[in-house]
Amino acid sequence: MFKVRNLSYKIQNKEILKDISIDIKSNNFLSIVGPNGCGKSTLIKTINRNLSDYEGNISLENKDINSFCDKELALKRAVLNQSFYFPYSFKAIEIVEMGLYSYSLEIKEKKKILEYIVDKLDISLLSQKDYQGLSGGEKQKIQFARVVAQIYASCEKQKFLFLDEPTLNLDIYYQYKILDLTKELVMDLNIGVCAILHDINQAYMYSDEVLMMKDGQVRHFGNTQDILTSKNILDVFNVQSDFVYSEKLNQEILVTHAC
Amino acid sequence: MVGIKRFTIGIFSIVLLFSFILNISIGAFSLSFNDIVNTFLSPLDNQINYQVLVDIRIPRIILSIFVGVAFGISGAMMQTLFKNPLADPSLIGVSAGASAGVVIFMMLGAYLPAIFSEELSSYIVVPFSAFLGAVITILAIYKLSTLYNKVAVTVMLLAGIAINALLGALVGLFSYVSTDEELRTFTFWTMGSLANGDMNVIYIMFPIIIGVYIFAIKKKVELNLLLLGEDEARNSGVNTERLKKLIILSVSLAIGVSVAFCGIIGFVGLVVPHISRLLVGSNHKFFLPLSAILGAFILVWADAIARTIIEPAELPIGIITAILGAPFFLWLLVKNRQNTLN
Repeated sequence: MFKVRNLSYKIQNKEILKDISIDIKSNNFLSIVGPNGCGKSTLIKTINRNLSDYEGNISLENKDINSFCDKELALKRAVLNQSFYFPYSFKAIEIVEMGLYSYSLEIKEKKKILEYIVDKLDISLLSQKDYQGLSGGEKQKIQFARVVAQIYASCEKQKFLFLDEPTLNLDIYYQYKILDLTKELVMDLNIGVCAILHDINQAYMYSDEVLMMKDGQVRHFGNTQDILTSKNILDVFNVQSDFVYSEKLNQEILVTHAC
Repeated sequence: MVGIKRFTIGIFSIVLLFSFILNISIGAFSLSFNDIVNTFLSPLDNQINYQVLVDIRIPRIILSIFVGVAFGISGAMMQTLFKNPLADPSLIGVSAGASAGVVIFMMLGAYLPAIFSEELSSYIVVPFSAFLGAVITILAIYKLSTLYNKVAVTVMLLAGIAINALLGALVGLFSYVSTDEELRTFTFWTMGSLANGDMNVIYIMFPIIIGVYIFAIKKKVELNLLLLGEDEARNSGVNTERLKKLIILSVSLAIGVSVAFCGIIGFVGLVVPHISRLLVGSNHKFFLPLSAILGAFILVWADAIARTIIEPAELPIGIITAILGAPFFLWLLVKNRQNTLN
């Protein structure tokens, strides 16, 4: 379990995160939602040591996060940041393979893991192309495959997957495909997922817990059913919402409207 | 794909080998292949030929190969460290820093009691001052141009301009108070020459260049990950702090010894990695060896031009590499204009 206690983070005296205390459990899907610039990405970056100079305490398995070396940490958690500039010519599958850096695997095992992931994400054609020539959404799929490879190969008891807007740039079919696979990882491999999602409906459908952030603070945090309510959505996003039941899909859907 | 890349590297290795052999016969003192074969078969009958070959020409070609490998590999690693194809050791002032190290040592040396013998000084102390100059420069530029683990390219290039200007001033200052003989040496520092190559230089460079090359090849996977971004590399388990230090150390070693013995040879570290990336892609597994081979290839031929074009005199090699490299640099800038605007 990741324990975050009284976490604050400042950039040039501007407080980005204020006194955040949360737990990130394994075998659990936690979504982080909140308006733009509320500190969601900064929170994920701080927890994963991509930003230093924070105040407060972050621990994993009751040990301070800074007591792990980079490799130890890489076996316990994988992180997908928001898409980045990568103007280099690599075959897409080579990028996926980079996720396996920390494991000393035989070529055969490596191939097996990569094949499984390529098959799961349905990217066999894509994986043979040059990464540079891919579209934004296709790149996102490859980067997602890379972090899944990293966490799938791990033999640790507790492992975590941090996703910063995993559905970015993806068509709606692939948004669900990626979220389904993420959910499957939670169920089958006991992975703890912590994902920043922009679509509140997807957060509602997939997550066990929801963290609602605003102005660098935790506004509401707990079980999805208790937290994603019309009242809280109005509080955090300033939009009206209602839950409507669709008989055809056999599920409740959140509809939103401007105030 | 992999086959084609291996084939490309193989072809260029063979081309380099032929260039080496061909260049033994080219020079102010022209030797045919028959002469060369005869010389090695019976050295005693061809003493002058033998001396030209063994004392001057062969060490010089080996030196050009070492320096080419040094600039090729260093350019490749710098471009990965700064995540930018414009990060060339000469352009951003690392070579200038290395020669500044030497100039400062020389200036101080005039006032210090002669603690080092002539030999020790030129083979050990000068390269070491060059190395120190290079390390300080890279560290300074890296610290100046990075913020939140991201490199600000404009700052990197402008810092290079500043450092190059500072060295220019330093050399200018020194040339004001120096003799004609010393002045000639400064031309050597600023424009480069391989004429100082002898076997001692080769012995000193050999372990350093081989060591840096082996280091780079051993770290090929880490270097690939570094291209993804520093955060990504670290999240995947790369000890990026250590890796960055080792890159800076090995680039400084390679550039330091090269500049100490051969002066500043510009644009090789810029052009070579770019061409190899076009040929075999960005995967360091292929990109690094080809950068080394191409660097050696270009320097061997640039030196061949430098020492034959105005026979019996010589041109500084830096003039040749600049004439070839500067237009290439401009072309790169125009090509990357779109990205710069975004």
